[in-house]
This record gives sequence, C-alpha cells and structure tokens, in this order.
Amino acid sequence: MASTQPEAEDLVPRYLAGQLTPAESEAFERALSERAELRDQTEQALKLKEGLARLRERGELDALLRAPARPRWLPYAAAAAVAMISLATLAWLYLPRSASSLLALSPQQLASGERPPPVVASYVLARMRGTAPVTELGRAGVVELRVLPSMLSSAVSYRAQIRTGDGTGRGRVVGEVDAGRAAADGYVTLYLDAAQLPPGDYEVSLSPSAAGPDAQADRFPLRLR
Amino acid sequence: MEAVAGMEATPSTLKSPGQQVILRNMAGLRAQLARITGSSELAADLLQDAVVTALQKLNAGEISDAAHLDGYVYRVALNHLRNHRRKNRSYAIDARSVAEPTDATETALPTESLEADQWAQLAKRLLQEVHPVRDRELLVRFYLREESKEELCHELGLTESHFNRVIYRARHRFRELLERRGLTKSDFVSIVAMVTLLGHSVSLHGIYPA
Repeated sequence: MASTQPEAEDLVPRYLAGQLTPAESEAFERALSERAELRDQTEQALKLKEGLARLRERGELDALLRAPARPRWLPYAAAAAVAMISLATLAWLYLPRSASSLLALSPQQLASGERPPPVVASYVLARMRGTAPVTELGRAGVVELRVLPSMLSSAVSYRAQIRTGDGTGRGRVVGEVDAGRAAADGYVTLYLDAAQLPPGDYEVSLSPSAAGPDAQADRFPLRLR
Repeated sequence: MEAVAGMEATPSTLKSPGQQVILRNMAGLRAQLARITGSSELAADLLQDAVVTALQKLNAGEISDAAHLDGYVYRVALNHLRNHRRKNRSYAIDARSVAEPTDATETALPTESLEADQWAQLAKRLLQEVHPVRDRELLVRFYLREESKEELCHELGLTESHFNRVIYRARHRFRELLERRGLTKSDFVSIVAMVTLLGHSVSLHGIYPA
C-alpha cells in the first residue's frame, strides 16, 4: 500500500487529519508502534500543527500569508539610485579624472591598460624673467613636462600640481603628484594626460614638499587647445 | 525529551527485573490532546491512561518486548486523540471555517504554554522562509486546516511533485529548527510528570504487586 509507506511525505499529516482509510490507518499505527523515527515524525507534525494554531490564535497567521507589502519608500529609493548611477556615469564620462591620475611621474602610471600611452609631445618649463609665457598644448594625449625648479637642490623633494588657471594661483587643483627630487640634469619630469582635461587655461606649479601652502612656487601657465 | 520511567519497582510488569523503559517525548501529542479536549488536565489523564493500558498489555504478555512499550503508549495515546476528534465535532478543521478553535492555553500549564509558544515561533520562522506565499498557504491549509492534498493541488494549481517537495522541505526545515532549539526533546517537567503519572496510575490500577 504505497500511501501508507512511512516514507511518504504527507503520510503523517494525512493520518493526523483522519484522511487515511481504516486499513491505511491500521497499517500506519502498526508501523508507528514499531518505528521510533515515525513517532518522531508524528511528534514534529503535531508540534507544527500546534505552533500554527498558536499563530492563528494570536492573529499573526493572516499577516504571514500575505505577500510582503512593497515599502512606500521603495519607488523613491529606486529613483534616487537611478539618478545617482546616471550622475556617476556622467561624471565618469565628462569630468576630469581624479587628481592623481592626471599627473604622473611616468606614462605607465597614466595607462588604463597594460601598455603605456604614447607621449605625444615634450615641453621644458623654466622660469624666466618678466611675465611667464603661456605654453600652448594640444590635447591629443600624454605630454611630457620637464620642469626646471628655480630653487635647485638635490636635497629637496617637490610636489607638482596642475590647477585651473586664472592667473592668481588659486584655481581648482585638478591633478597633483609627489614629484620627488630633481634628476641629475636638474629637471623634474612630469607627465600630463592632456586628453582628460577640457580646453582652457591651466597652471602647473612646483614647490618643495616640506614647505607650507604659502611657500613660493614655480608657476607655469598652460593653455590647452 | 525522553522520559525515563524507572520500572525497577514493578517486576511483575517486566520479564527482566531492573530493566528500564524509555517513554519517549509526547509533548506534541499532549498539546494536541489539550487543544481538542479543551483541557490540559484531561490531556494528562488520557496520556496516563495510555501508559496504564500499555502496562496492562505488557503485564498480560500482549507486548512481547518492553522495548516496544513506548511505541505502544504512543499508539494508544494517538488513538485517544483520534477518538476525541471524532467526538468533538466543534473542532473546526474545515478550510473555510472561521470558527475559533479551542484555546488550549487557557488550561495549559505555564511550561506547556511556553513550549507551545516556542513551536509557534519556529512555525512563524518557517513560514517566513517559505517562498512564494502560495507555498505558505499550502502548508497552513494542509497542516492546520487539514485540507486534502488533492483539493489543495487542484485549487492552487500545483502538481503532486511540487506539493511533495514543499512538504518535504518544510518538514525537514522545521525539524532543523526544533533541533537547533533543543526542542526535539521534551522538557524536564514532562519527564517528572510522566514518571509521577506512571507511578500514580500504576498504584491506582493495581498493577503493582501487593
């Protein structure tokens, strides 16, 4: 009798519900008195029935049988998430990269893949008497800037920055890097990913790292075409 | 919890003097008896009667092995449950019935009530874990409202294999939850109660030798 096999998943609750035929019930009870595991199953079913009955008495059962209501704030949260993702995408596409990724000590540091980007031009920036000339750069790719500090010392470490230029030296910093010490030839060599900057006026500055923010810096105006 | 009923004092009931008989947990059965009869005391009496009946059978040699005593007790007690269900037609089991069932907690001992509350907590957790909601409904209608498998499969548009799968998972999960809480075994109070009842009933029915 297949339906009275103790292995049947629904056998115990069906017996408890009085849904078995008299012959099936008799077979079940015989098995029950001989098999401890079947009694354990019966006990568990009875505990589940009692637990459910308690939930019903407490009025908790109906709520458990309803699909969880969608929280009121969910549409707003979804809209906010979409807006944030959109803004992040726009920022990634149109805003300059982070300060550290625009200015580097080697082309490799500006690479997005394994191969370093090609250096499309090289410029020497050195202070001169009178008004500093504006160096005009193309935005075709990575540009090498060889900067000659006015205070040349092999013991000094430098910090380089590029900021939006309005001639006052107070523009927004868009890239910076610890440039280390000058090379044996006296130059501090930097690499600028010009393609990541929108056209406009900028200013590259070089100052001793140990000096405060008000320290005298070498400033070189740039114009990206 | 297993109730260990010391039978050393009843040599006439056992073929091997000094043998112990293990009376297994019947907390779930006791709770259902209390629910259906509406009285925790009556439920205890029925369990006691099951024990006495089993001992009488054992004494009469109708139970060949004392190791089967607990199974026989359970069977007799379960029969009491079925008989009372038949008698008590007011016990609402129809799926569409809105009648409130007997509140067994009114007369339940505090420990019994606590135990049943724990089962309720586990049943709640089980339902919360079951998805979709339709499968929860299946469990409630099958276990609590005692609707038939065929009826439920038809109404909920389920195959028999899906039905069996839901029942199988729920059964195993509930067992896991019980085990984790240590509720597959009965509480200490149940042991004491069972032993006390056993001794009481035995002396009442004169099973002990004079």
